Amino acid sequence: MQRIDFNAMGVTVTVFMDTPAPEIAQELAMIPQWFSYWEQVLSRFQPDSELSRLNESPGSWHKVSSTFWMALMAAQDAAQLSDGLVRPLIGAAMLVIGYDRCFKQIVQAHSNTLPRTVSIPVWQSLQYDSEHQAVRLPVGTRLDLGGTAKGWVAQQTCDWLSRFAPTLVSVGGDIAISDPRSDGSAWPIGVADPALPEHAVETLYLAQGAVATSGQDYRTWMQGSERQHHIIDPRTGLPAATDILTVTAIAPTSVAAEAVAKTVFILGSVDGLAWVAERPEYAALLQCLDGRQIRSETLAHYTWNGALHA
Amino acid sequence: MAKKPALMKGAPGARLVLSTACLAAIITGWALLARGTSASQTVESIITIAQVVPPPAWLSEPLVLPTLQPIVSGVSSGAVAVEPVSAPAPAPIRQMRAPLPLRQIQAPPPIILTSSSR
Repeated sequence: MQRIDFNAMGVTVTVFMDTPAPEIAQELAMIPQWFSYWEQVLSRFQPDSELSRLNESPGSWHKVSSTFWMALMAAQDAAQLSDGLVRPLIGAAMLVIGYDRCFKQIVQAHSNTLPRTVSIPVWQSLQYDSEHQAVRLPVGTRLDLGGTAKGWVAQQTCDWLSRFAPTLVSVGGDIAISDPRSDGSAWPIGVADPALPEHAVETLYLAQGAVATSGQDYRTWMQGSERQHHIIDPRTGLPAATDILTVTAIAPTSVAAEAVAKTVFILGSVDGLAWVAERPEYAALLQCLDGRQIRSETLAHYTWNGALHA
Repeated sequence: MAKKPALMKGAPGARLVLSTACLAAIITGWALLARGTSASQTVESIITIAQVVPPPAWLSEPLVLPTLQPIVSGVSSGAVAVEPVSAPAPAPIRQMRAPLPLRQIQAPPPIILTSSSR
């Protein structure tokens, strides 16, 4: 097993490749450069990124790079999957709630401004031309690819490296898995305890697919007297009012897993669990603000005892 | 009424004499021919006659027996004859252990954690 760890996109990136082949070290060493490139295209915290430049000129058509195009299409797929609850046109709302710089800087700069409500357009209002890979933002809106972009780069990295060896890629907890490990076994993935992040409340075993966790346990800050978090409910334009602390979701891809986790989080424990129950291709573990842990029925397929008896 | 010639009257007796003489001659001849003749002499004469015809050529060649083929080669024309593999020596008999309950198999610990973005 070989691995590499580095920081990118404001999070920790970890890549495992299950092979002793020495030439794999060269492939691993290239990965931080890929992430630097992706940040230059997709980050809203870099003023000269492709995303930032697009956000500065809504209302007109712009041809975008292939990387930007693919990431945007992934975000639109997430919007469709989530019934519109996870949509990319939340950039303006992020600014209003104070998430206008990287997270470390937000925590240091305590704001006394109370949030306003911003109307968020439906995801279908984003116009794009597939033939020319061109995009037009509605006036008054801004894009934020955020968590979807992290899921997308995790999946891209995993898909590329899987041609060399079984691979696991984690981008800030959004995890993509290509294949079973070399010995045929599943990859053991711990679900962090929000109170003790170094400890796992559950271990999931995935042969392939993806896991992602969203929540209000870490990226929170005070704005006035209100504690804010970064997951916007597009129905209100404000951070989601939910009884859930974190949601861990399992799905076929890391973009889908990210979208499922955020959808359940926004819906809350009752409606969120019902939403997952209608979609047996997903599984979820909910850790609620009151300490309850709620598991979808399908989660048992990925636990040790459940996998053994499947 | 005319009498039959005497000769005619005396003919049955003459025939009897002739038959007896013939029979005696035959027996005498047979006895003379048979004298000094044995069964071995008869076989020799037969062998001598057989040696007159040369034996077939193949008969004088050394006998060659066809080599026996493995049975498997005769089963199917497409099959490849394989050297039979010796079975390994049987393992010594030992006491079977009861299988471990599933719960005693150790669950592998996590190699990475998933958490909200950090």
